[in-house]
Amino acid sequence: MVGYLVGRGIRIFLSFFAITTIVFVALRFAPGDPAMLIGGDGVGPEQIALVRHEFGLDRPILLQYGEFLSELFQGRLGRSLTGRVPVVALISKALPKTLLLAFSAWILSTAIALSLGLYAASHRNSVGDLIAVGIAGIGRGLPDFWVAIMLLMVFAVRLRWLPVLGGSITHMILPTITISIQVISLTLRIVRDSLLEVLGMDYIRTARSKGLPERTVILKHAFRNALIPVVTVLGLRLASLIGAGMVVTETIFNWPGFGNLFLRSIQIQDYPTVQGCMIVVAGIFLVLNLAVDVIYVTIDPRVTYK
Amino acid sequence: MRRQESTNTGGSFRQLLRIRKVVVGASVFLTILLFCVVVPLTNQKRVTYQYLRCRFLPPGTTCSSVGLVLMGTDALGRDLTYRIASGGCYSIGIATITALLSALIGAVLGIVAGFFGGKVEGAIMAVADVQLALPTILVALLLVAVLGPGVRNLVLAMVATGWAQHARLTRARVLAVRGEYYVEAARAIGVPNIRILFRHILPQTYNVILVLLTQQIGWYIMVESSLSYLGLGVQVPAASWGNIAAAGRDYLSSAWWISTLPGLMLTAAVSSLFLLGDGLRDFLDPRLKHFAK
Repeated sequence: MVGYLVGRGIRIFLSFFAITTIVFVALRFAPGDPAMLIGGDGVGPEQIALVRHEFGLDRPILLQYGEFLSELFQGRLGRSLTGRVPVVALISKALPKTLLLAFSAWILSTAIALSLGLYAASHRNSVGDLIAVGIAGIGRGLPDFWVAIMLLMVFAVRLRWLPVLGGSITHMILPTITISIQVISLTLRIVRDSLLEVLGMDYIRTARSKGLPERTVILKHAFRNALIPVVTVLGLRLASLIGAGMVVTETIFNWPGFGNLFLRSIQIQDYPTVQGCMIVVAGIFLVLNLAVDVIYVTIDPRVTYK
Repeated sequence: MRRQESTNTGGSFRQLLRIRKVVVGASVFLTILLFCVVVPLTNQKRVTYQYLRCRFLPPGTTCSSVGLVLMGTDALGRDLTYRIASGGCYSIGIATITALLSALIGAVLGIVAGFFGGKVEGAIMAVADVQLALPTILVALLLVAVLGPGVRNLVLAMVATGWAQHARLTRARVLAVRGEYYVEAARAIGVPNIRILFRHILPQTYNVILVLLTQQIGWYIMVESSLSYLGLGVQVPAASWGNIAAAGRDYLSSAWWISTLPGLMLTAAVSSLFLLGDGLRDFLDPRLKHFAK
């Protein structure tokens, strides 16, 4: 296990290094001179040269890369082109808001998906099961931007039950539902399929023939074993929620989180911030991937890592 | 010799039609496709023509200069029936091209990795792993930011993230098939490597590629629409399901249909493709149930 973790750690480090390098190089080929962006249209060549010098853009690219790496290992991500604020400060202000949204959506959808999936699998082919499967099927095909607009239209614009904008707790409700719908549909299906597979196993028949109540069979014997594929999906879902699922939703609901920051930085070509966001997301993604693998071992004693 | 592969290819079209998921998925998708292709063909001009006297018409009403508008008109008086159909052509077309390119690149790399192994395999899979370590939409966003918005760059950005899934899946399949007895037998009687690859291994990868391809088209329709919604994909005046929905955002209180209808089409198209993919997987190889994403 320790050896496995060390190996994985090294690979994660290498992946992380590769991703940061790719992001750095890609953004150096991006169109538009960052110096022009700060200076605006009406500035002369001297000012542009000055700004370029200030951000180190006039130095050879390898030197810039070296500096970027040494900054990175000191936990700094450079300064934003707009307002010259440290990128780390921008991200650490936005990330908690995204985490709040992601975790509440994740908890809500996990609770719903687990209970619906349990119900659907234990009442196979009943009306409830068909409804659950239907929800899962359609939910998978629902684009988040459209769900967001529809929720906004019905609950905020027409019924006026909830605010369109603002930072209050009620402002969280619609984005949370938007994100949950996709996670529920995906998770529900896997919970159901995996439970159904486990329920066909021999030891379940044994448990039933011992005369155990169905409740005990499902909750004690089947559920734990059905959890294994579910954990992977839930873990990876959480990771992509923080990373990507938020961009569209946060933008539509104007939630001041990470996705919003990322998209805004792309639109105004604030490359240091874009770069910082990508690096943070990659880090979160890689670490959560590892966490999922470690949880595997805890819930499934058959899985061992060498 | 025992038969290890139980794939259902060839001569079983009638069996395929017995799978409800396939029939429902395919017929819904084909209907949408037909609508999207035929409607703009009847009058290309109406996709962008602005009937300024007929703005914000609800679905099913008539206006003297346009006639009946089945899906209403938008803020500029454009006929949404035509825009949504044309947008569907873009969305489905872009998604299909992207998925085909991803499948081609990914499958070739996956086969090379699986068949030849060694350092080549290590290098290809390392790149694929890095690719899969990042969420698709983020990479697409980054690439579109670097390359600029537009259809060509959108396709490039999506292929850049999509090939890795194909590479992984195809490699795993090649590895599984490579160990089969019949491959060993072919090798034992001196069949050259290249012939083993094309005659004995490649045909066994088609099924997994086909299933992933179908579902990827659905997935890419969503990604394309999301990026177009954000203004980074298909640019106006060309229509896409994403940018029509975005244009309707300012009129949610007065003209519900502008944002609602393209989303409904989108959901129907994507769901039907997912359903079709599920059905194909059940049919082609039941053992792959937990394999494809």
